[in-house]
Amino acid sequence: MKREELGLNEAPLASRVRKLTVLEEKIKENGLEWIAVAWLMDHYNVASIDELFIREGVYDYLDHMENIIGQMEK
Amino acid sequence: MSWFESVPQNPELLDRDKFSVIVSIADYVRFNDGEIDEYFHQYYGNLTLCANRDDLTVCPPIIAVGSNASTRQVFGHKWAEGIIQNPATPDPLLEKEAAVAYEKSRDELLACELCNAAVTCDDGLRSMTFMRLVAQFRTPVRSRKLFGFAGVVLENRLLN
Repeated sequence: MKREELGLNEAPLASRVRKLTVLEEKIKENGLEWIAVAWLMDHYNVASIDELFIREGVYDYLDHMENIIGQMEK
Repeated sequence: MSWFESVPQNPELLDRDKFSVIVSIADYVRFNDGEIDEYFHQYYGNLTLCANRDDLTVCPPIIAVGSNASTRQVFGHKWAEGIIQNPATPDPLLEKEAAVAYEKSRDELLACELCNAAVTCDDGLRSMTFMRLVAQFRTPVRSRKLFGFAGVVLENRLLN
């Protein structure tokens, strides 16, 4: 998956919602949604998905989630 | 000097307090037949996740390490953060000997063993006794298979 497909080269504030939507779709396509969610919830030590997505900085880890998907697809 | 010994265990017969991490994951896997759902995050923190591989003569590559995973406790945060570049433990013998449990979990969903091994760590060779569980998970949409490893370290002492 190219960075552009995730909107990772766009201005950070303007593209946050779009990035997340595209990433969620990509994760669901791969059947990996709960792994990615579990990874992020563990990383941020939060108890709910809602709490996860209002956290600042969650978007910094989109690259890492991409890597996880990449590893699974090899 | 290196060794690896293991004795198969039934997770249903383990002490549920002492091995709560292993027992709870085994219960979850049995209940869901290995399928990951929205409750997976409750177990993820204690797991080391590995990709599926046909060849299991060595352990499959690590794809993610939970914050409380036994591998992170043993090999450290720096190692855990570097698994994308180097997706294996630092101990070649462990990688080879531990692979049997992955093969068993592929056939039987769960493999639980009491292990005693010499493990190469940052500070040298360590004698370790640990209970470990290898479980086979599958993703809900495409049924991709992956493995989850959880351990409880019972003894960990430096040998040299």
